[in-house]
Amino acid sequence: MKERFFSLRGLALAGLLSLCLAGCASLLPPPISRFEVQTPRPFGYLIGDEIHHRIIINTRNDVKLNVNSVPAKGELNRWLNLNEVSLRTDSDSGDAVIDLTYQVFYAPNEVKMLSIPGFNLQFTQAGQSVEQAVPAWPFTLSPVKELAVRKDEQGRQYMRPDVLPESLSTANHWLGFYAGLTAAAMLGGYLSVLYGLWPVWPKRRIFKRLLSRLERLPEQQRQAGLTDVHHAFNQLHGKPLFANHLSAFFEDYPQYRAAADGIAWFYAWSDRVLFGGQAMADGDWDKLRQLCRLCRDIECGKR
Amino acid sequence: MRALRHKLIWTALAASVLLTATQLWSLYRIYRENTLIAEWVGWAEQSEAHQLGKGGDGLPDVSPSYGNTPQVRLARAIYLHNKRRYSEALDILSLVVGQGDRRLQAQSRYSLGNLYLSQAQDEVEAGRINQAMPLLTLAKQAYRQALTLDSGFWDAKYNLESAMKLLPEFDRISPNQPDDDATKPSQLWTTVPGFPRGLP
Repeated sequence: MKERFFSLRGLALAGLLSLCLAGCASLLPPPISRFEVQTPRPFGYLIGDEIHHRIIINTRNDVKLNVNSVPAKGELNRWLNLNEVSLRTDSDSGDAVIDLTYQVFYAPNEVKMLSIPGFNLQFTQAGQSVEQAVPAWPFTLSPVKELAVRKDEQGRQYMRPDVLPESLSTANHWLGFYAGLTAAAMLGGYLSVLYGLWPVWPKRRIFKRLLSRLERLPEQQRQAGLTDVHHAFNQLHGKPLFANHLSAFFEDYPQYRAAADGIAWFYAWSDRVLFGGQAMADGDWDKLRQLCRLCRDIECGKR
Repeated sequence: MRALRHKLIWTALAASVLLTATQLWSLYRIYRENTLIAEWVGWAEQSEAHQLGKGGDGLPDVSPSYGNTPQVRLARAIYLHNKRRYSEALDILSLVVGQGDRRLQAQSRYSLGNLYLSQAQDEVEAGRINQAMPLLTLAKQAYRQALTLDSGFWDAKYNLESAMKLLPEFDRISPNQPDDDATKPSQLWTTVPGFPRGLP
């Protein structure tokens, strides 16, 4: 009696479990929840026209689209080419968008109904294959030219003439030319200022003028040359510059620190020559000219 | 640092002068090429006028030298096509096909199709149908390539349809099969010659 009770109880439990499983299975969403083929107008096409189709699919996450089931680019039949195939998938959401671009090469004598062939998309779900049919898409194609043979003036069958090539564009080259010219003018102008070619900026040509004066100066007037050098430093400094103010001068014009030794030597040497009565040696004069060249280079920005 | 900056300014100046000079040279070269294109186009139109009996010959017997750009070559090929110097035009077009941007490639393939179609028409007029058939096949192929590159190329659509009317393609073998046979074409007898002479 007791054994019979347990066997009946087991059967009842098994039945309940199977009912629960069946109920859960019906609660699961279908493998392909959305399947939509977006197509353009099905009429008014001509030879050579392109037709774009878009297929939008939404599947469960465990259902994967078999990429090999998407048609490949190329010639589908005698009059239909598949020019472009684009597949975008989102594995997280299960969305897939397939863009197909067909091109028709059919020459109908009158308006004719044709059909883009359908195909099956395959999906895999836990090792099992699921198929979704993409239906054939009928459309009408119209002729471009009249059925009667049209003749040209020479009695030959009329055909459209060659398309004459357009002139080469110069727009990009003009742009490059003006850009180069503007850059060259600006840089050249800036360098001309640095090199003291403009009299309106006298501070940029102090040592340039000094050097040309020293080069022309006769040997008897070299003491006047020393005065000119002092005058040049005064002009640059904006006020008389003495040996004991050199440190302040270098703070104001740090670029002249490169000539600091030469400038210090010049102030000491000129003091001896102008006020101490020391004779001017050729070597000292050459050293002075070298100092002026160095200052000229600094003035130009070369150093 | 100042010295480096100074050198950089000089380098930039040299580069900009070089850029200006090269662009100027390119502009001059383009001007010459455009002049050449205009001359070829003018001669091609003059040739058409001559063929229509509206003017004298006036065409250069000796071809002047031409540029190397695809546009100039295409213009010269069109001129030679209008002069019915097909083999010379074909030589030049074979150099142009595949060059230039997408639009120019479509134009050159369209010109190639026109060249084959004109030759086919000449063969048909001479009664040599067998010689015309491969030329028509080549013309259709060239027009298809032009339309693949530019599906809105109306002249190519018109001429392709003309060529397909001259050499129709049948894909229905038995009446039981649908019109839009989706099978790939067979290599055997895909085309049948037919030269419509107009409606009765």
